[in-house]
Amino acid sequence: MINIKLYWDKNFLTGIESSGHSGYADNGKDIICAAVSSLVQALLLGLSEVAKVEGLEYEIDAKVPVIKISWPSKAAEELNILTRSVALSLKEIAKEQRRYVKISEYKQ
Amino acid sequence: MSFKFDIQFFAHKKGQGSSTNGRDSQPKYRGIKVYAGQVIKAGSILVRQCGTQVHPGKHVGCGRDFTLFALVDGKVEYIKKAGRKFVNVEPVSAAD
Repeated sequence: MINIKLYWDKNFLTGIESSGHSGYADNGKDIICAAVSSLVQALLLGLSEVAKVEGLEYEIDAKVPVIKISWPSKAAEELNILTRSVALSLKEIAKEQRRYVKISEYKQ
Repeated sequence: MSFKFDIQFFAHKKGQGSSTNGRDSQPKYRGIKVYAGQVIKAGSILVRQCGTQVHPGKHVGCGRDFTLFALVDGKVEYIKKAGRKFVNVEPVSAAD
């Protein structure tokens, strides 16, 4: 199961942590893993390469596997369109694939 | 930004299967310990075996685990009789 943690500051997302194997299928056939991987990595690319967020922190470990991304609260509002879209997409996937994806949310 | 976009990042990595082989029993070190023509002392072990691959012949004893051993000092000899292998010990007289 993939565990996704969403960190909120008031109404804005300030961090996301995704870890674990989905277990839906083997490497190369795991469509749920592909969906989650793409969204989380797209968020990371968007924040770093497009929005060029200052103070962006991220950690990637393929062995665990885990991806942690966090950004300063002051930038959270202007990034809201991107970050909330990704958060809502992940929630929809988790709603549909309860056995393979679990979301937990934390308010700062 | 240096990371490789992996669309299967959260999937089980390929080749993580396990094999059901990899077991083996302890070695038993069986076989012929003294070959034909060798001179041995009484009590020497000639053959370690499972069942009587080689049968005890003259001056050769057979243990409960089918181990063959010499009953006298002498020279070892292997012969075939009626389709069976036998091991004999020919006593070596003092003159030899």
